[in-house]
Amino acid sequence: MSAEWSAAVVRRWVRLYTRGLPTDIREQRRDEIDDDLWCQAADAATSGRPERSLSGEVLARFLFGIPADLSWRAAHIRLGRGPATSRRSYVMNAPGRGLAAILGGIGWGIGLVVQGFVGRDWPTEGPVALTLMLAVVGGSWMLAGATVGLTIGAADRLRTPLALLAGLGAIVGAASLLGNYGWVVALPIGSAALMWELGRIGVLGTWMARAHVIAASLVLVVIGLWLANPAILDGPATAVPALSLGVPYGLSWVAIGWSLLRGASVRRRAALA
Amino acid sequence: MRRKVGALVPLEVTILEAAAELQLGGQAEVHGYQLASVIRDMRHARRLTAYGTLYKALSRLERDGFLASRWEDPNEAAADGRPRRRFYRLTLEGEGALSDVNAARREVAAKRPAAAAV
Repeated sequence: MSAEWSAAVVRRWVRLYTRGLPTDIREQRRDEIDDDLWCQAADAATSGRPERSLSGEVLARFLFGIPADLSWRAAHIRLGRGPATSRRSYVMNAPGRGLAAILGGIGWGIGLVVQGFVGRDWPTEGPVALTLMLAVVGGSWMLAGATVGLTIGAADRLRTPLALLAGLGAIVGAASLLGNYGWVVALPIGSAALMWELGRIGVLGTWMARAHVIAASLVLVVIGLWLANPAILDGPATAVPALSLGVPYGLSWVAIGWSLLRGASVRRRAALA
Repeated sequence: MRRKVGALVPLEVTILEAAAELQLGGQAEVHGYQLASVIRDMRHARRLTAYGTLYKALSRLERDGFLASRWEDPNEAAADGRPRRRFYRLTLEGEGALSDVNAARREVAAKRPAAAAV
């Protein structure tokens, strides 16, 4: 794996994520990365650095920067280059993610409540089955989507390991609903990592971030109880109290979604002012 | 959800510090790779800041008025046989933001002994 090959990978990636953006923005980003790659190679040549080491560093810089690249692209697509983008105050303009968080949180709550009362005997057909499917699967997928969307939106401000944990947690959690239900545990772990980070950088209120982490921890307790004793979900007497521990997680998402929607409307007002 | 007004994340502060350091060393204008190298040394890091992370932060700092940039004449770059280069310089607003950060740090440091005494 030569340094030239690694640099070519980076250039291809830059061409990919700048595709469709205005020509000047696209060319400026490409030229800037091109120059950086050139300087890095020249520096390595001057210091006699082994090519393999340079190649590894180029790839590491590329991989760790992917979330920020995607976030940069999303910002250009979402906001354009109007005067509103030059405002110092940063508002996460995310009505779609806010709506997904609210609907997902509601779906999550409905799913838990119904699961508590019907136990394992879920209806398999008819409108009730469809509603439950939409609430549980659709809700969880919306939460996973909101987690990924928020991670990408704030990627450059998040610590990389926690951003990766958030994204991976959302993807694994969403995929678990296709059959390996136990892996749904990844969703609250990922979202807790994300909200903690959003709280740390000041995008989310500290109390809201902490509340979400606590609520996600309670979900882990529920899943732990279920894994330790699957019979706990057999009847309402044990299922309702156990599953009620998971409801605050849904409520926390609703609160975060509401906050996102409010942020979006604040931003619109600021842009119009 | 609002980011605190005027708030700088640690990487942005480090970029401003690196630009200020290079400026003190006589370089009024610096390019991305120079900043990445200085940041690596300042942070005692093993590798340079990721491309996406660095250039997105630079773009935001410029948008917020803390840095200004210009593209060099393509003929100069061609004469040196390299891609054209974007140069950044610290603005007065950037210097002010850096002073604010340093003042806040001094304030925190001054409070520490007092808190320890209690």
